[in-house]
Amino acid sequence: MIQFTKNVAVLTLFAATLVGCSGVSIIPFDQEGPKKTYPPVPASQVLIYKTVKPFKNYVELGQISRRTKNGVNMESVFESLREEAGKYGAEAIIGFGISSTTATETTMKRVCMNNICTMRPEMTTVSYHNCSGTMIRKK
Amino acid sequence: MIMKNYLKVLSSISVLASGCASAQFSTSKVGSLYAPRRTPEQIEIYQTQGPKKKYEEIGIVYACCGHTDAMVELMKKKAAECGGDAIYSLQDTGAHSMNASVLRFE
Repeated sequence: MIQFTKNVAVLTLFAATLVGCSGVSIIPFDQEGPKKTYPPVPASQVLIYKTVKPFKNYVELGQISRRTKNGVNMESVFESLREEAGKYGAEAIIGFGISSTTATETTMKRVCMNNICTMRPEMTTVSYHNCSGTMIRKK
Repeated sequence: MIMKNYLKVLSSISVLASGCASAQFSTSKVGSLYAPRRTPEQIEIYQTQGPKKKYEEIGIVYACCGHTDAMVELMKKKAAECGGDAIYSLQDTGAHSMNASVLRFE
């Protein structure tokens, strides 16, 4: 049982590392004033487009983005963007795009030889992905 | 038996050649599904201007971790599977990944 719990914990940690910790951030545009709020839209009704504009006349509510580490799970990204954009009152996200960067991170790794353990730096390459778009609402 | 091993070697070579790339598709509208009607070879590619005929964007395709040509092939395959007729606005995302919108003609 303990072994099973350990395995589950290791797998969860591995999955979390793979997908990376992520959060959605919003930069409001305040085109209709900083105090203007909009009624929420159900996440399932929020549209996401890269090249198409679903409405002729719209107000841009802000820039929405989600950052992920070491890979992009599109379903998860779309789900979280829809959720947060809907709460903000957006009916669609347009101009969706992804920009990725790679970086080298140094972590200290415990290395043991002949019962003598030392900490050694280990270089790993990680990639960061920023998935973003503009939140809009029909005028 | 020899045939089996031969196939194994062939599939390993094709995986290595594609650089283990993979593609994902997400729909623009939640719950919308489109029946496939083209083969990957029939998927048209548009980059700086969209098709002249009427179309709708049905989703976005994202490919990762391979050579550009392998990723484009995978994006076309995924677009075909998901009912697309064309891919538009191929964007090199960086870190060996690409994305594009998937179009379906009216």
